[in-house]
Amino acid sequence: MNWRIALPALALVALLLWLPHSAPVFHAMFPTLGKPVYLRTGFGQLVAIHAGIVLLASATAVLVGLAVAALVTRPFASSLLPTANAVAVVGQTIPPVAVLVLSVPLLGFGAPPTLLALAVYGVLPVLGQAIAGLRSVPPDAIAAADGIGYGPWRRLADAELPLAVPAIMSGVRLSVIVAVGTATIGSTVGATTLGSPIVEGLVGNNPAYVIQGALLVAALAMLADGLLEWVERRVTSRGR
Amino acid sequence: MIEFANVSKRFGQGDAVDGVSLSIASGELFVLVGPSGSGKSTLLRMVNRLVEPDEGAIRIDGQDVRDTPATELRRGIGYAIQSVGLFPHWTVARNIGTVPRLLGWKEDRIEARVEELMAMVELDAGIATRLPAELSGGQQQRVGVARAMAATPAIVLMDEAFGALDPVTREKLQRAFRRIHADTGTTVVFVTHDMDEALQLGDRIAFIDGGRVRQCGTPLELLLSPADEVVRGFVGGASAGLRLLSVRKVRDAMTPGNVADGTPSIGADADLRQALSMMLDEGLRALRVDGADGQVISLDGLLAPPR
Repeated sequence: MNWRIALPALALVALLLWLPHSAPVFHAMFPTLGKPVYLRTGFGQLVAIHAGIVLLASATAVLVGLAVAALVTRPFASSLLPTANAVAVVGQTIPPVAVLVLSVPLLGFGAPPTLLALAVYGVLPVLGQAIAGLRSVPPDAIAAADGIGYGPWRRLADAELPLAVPAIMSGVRLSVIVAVGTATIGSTVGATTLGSPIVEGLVGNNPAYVIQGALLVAALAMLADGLLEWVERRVTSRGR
Repeated sequence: MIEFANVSKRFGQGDAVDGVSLSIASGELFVLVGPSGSGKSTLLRMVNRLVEPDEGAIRIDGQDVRDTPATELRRGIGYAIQSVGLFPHWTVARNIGTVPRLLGWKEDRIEARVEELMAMVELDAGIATRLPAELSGGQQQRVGVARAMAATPAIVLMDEAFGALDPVTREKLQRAFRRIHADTGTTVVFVTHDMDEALQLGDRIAFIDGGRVRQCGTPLELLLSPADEVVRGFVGGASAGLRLLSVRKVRDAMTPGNVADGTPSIGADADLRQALSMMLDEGLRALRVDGADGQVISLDGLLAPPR
């Protein structure tokens, strides 16, 4: 039994079952609120959409990040390495909201700019960690791989990427966790996510909505982290 | 046969090589020895095209190595290096089976070969599932040798392969490697900066200095008639005589004679240093030779000029 998956999963299910019937509790906490439970979209539906957006954006981010990292660590593209590293480091200092706002003129309102912003922002930790991981592969393992007849791509797949997995996975985890949280901001540009109750609660002065959204986001983020930790352990023990 | 034909390398990775011509026979254990920076590793790495010469050519069985794509060429040549370079995320068995796997062997054939190789390099079959980090330095180097020989290559290149080991482990591995070489008939090119190792292992030795071959010959030739002062200095100068003892075998210096019954005996394949040491231990001027009736190894035999 893996508690880092089971506990958040249990919490998420419990919240989904309880929240629709939670009016008495929130009414007791905030007696002045006329509608203490968010009803515009079902909580289950919000979680599904939210997770879907994160999944799609993160998958894209991981693929792009890995591809770019693999490319710039090849000898023939080594001149791009400092730039890629700088983008990965400096890029993460730009707040995700800025990326989101910038993608609205490109893609309009709703889910598309949210997806784009999450994917772009999510590339950065994966890229940075993957570059660090690939560069920390023991040089004698690479020398031996060359000497016994590995081609450059086979060497990447068989030796370099597996050896970089711990670093890559920490980048992926960071990227996904940030995406779970950041996806909520998508609701400020009209995407339906778990941010919808939060944004509406903030605008309409309804703290109960904010709490409901935040609880679900927190449970989802912890679930994602637990799942990724499990994946990480699986892939690092490969070849045993 | 490996042939270096007037090979030069002036700049770039590795140390310079200046007009080297050498011919290494099939099945030979050939040692390139010399100080660091002499270009011996560069020469070795030219055989599997990790370094390309500026001038000249390297031919294996008459064919220029540049006619074969580098990766294909390398899969046919075993390669072991000082730092071993095992893949840290793979088990011992998987590491040893790397090249057969690259060559597309079937899994059961790889498995059988790995088992055979582990026995050959005297590794306990129980460590097959361990990771390299869980092994001692000597064990790692044995795995490295097994990996180099996995696909039964006709040629094996070894670059200071035993250089990082303690003297005891190293001597054990050298002895094991001599035996493996004799059993397999593989052509081995072995780079080392250690003259004792060169004399111990080599059928023939090329002394490399400043990118040139100063002398090429059998261990005995290098010891008895060094080509110049540099070689003389490297083979030991004043202590060359002691090295000579460790290169020559009892069978090469035994003489007809008789000793008293109960005199200790020594094997005909032991080296003369062991014989002398035994004589010193026992306070004797002569020993019997195992399995050679009427033959003794005596101080006079040790002192007689090599035949």
